[in-house]
Amino acid sequence: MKSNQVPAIRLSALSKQFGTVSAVDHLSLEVQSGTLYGFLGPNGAGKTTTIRMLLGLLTPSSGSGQVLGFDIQTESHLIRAQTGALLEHTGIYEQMSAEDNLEFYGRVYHLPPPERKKRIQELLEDMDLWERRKDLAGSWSRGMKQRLALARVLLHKPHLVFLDEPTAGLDVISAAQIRGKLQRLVEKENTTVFLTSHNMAEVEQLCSQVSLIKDGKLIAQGSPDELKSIKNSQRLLIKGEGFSDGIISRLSMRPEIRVVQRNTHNLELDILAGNNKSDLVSWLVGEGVQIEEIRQDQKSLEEAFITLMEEENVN
Amino acid sequence: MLTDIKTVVWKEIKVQFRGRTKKSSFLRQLMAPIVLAAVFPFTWGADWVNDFPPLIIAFITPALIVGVMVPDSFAGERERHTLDTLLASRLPDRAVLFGKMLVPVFTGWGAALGFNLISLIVVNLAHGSGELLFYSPTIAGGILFLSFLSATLMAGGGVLTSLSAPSAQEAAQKLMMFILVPAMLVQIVPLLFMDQILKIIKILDGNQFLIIFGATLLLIDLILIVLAMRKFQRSEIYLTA
Repeated sequence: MKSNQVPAIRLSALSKQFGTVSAVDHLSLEVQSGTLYGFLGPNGAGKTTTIRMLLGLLTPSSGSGQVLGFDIQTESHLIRAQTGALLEHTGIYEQMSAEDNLEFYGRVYHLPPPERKKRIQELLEDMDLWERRKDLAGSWSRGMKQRLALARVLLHKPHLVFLDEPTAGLDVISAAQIRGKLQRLVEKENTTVFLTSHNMAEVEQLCSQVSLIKDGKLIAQGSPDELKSIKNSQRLLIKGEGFSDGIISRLSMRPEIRVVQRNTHNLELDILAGNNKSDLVSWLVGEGVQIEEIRQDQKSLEEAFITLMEEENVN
Repeated sequence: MLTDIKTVVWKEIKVQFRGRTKKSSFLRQLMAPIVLAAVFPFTWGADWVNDFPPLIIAFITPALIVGVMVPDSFAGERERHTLDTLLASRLPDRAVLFGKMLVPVFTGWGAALGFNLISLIVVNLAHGSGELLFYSPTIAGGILFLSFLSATLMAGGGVLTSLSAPSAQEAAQKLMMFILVPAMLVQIVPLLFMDQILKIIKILDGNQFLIIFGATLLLIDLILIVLAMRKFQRSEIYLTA
């Protein structure tokens, strides 16, 4: 790493064209050191292409980028030396034992033999894999392989790790274990994590900063809370009786209402922030609705994500 | 760089030979050449050590062995989804390339030398008549160098085809074309230029012919290695398969 002061990642109008298809389109973003950064987007949005460009595995069509202060086009070998990557697949050699997989990558990163041995044991124990270190990795479950891959990524204590959907396809317990290890990594070792995931709850739980891309373009970025309020709306859950069709219809026409959803005894309202909710409640009572309970709820990141994607589709 | 090449070689040996199934399958593939390496000198007689057939074994054996191993080098890793991770590591391009080439080359070369050693033992046991028979200097030199050049030729061609193939099977098919097309041309060319070739052969003695043949192979090997080095670029490997 060139200096602790530089951002872990800085991209400026980074683009990648495959023929006529624009996989990444003028992407600019900055990831601060020591953060767990979520990079979100639907399938084919350009997340993996971006990671590959950051690692020097694909040449950008235009734009520039620095990772740990190193240029992604001219100093990619230095980037690869100081980062770890868990890409779409685990990259585990299934014909080799778990210990040999780590031994190989320990040699790749020039860890001296005593340190290598100690670090392999430390990581395999941490991942609850030490007892089965002599097994061929191919005989393991997906969760175990994923934990082994994570151990491999962390072997040389990289400053920055790229994780492309690290919990995809894992059972609840394995996914929770991986999430726990990622949180500890950032807290204890100050490692920067650049994470892509389709699991919004996971991103909301782990990441302090998030960006959303679609068709290679950045459409939003900020903290999960900022993203959830980015559309300037809040959710109101009203439990009661008397939600007639007429009331629902008139309610939908009120200016502060964005979305109305009626369940059996519930009304779910998506309202523009900054409006007086008591006016709305008074209006409902005046219309004859019997209200039992009102709960104000914040949108989940997933809902914010869907809203942003839908709006992007309309645009 | 040497440390990195050694690391890749270490991994390739583990992947290629680790496991009972892999070992037994490799040994099964070697059985036929081992039998031929024993049968030919037995039937040929004491002249085996001075004649050209050991050179044919030295040329063909490594090509066959390397031809089986090398398609797996890049295409196999791509198929098993380990190539991305390998390329995302700090290993320099050339360490990956040469590390992957060296294991099949030395396996093929070693096997060719081993088979010729078996032949030598058989010819001594069967036709020795109390004195030690050994290859003439020309044949011994030819075995040593031709087998290495042949292994490198196949490794260079194999890596080139493997780099751009999505699977090991497709790489093997492409490599087959790489062998068959020149082999067919070699059969056609003498028909077209028979007179000129005969004139050249009459002028050259065995040593000179061997040197020219070896030099031609060396040149082709160097061209293939340079091509493989130029083609092996991380950003290109993703896009070619």
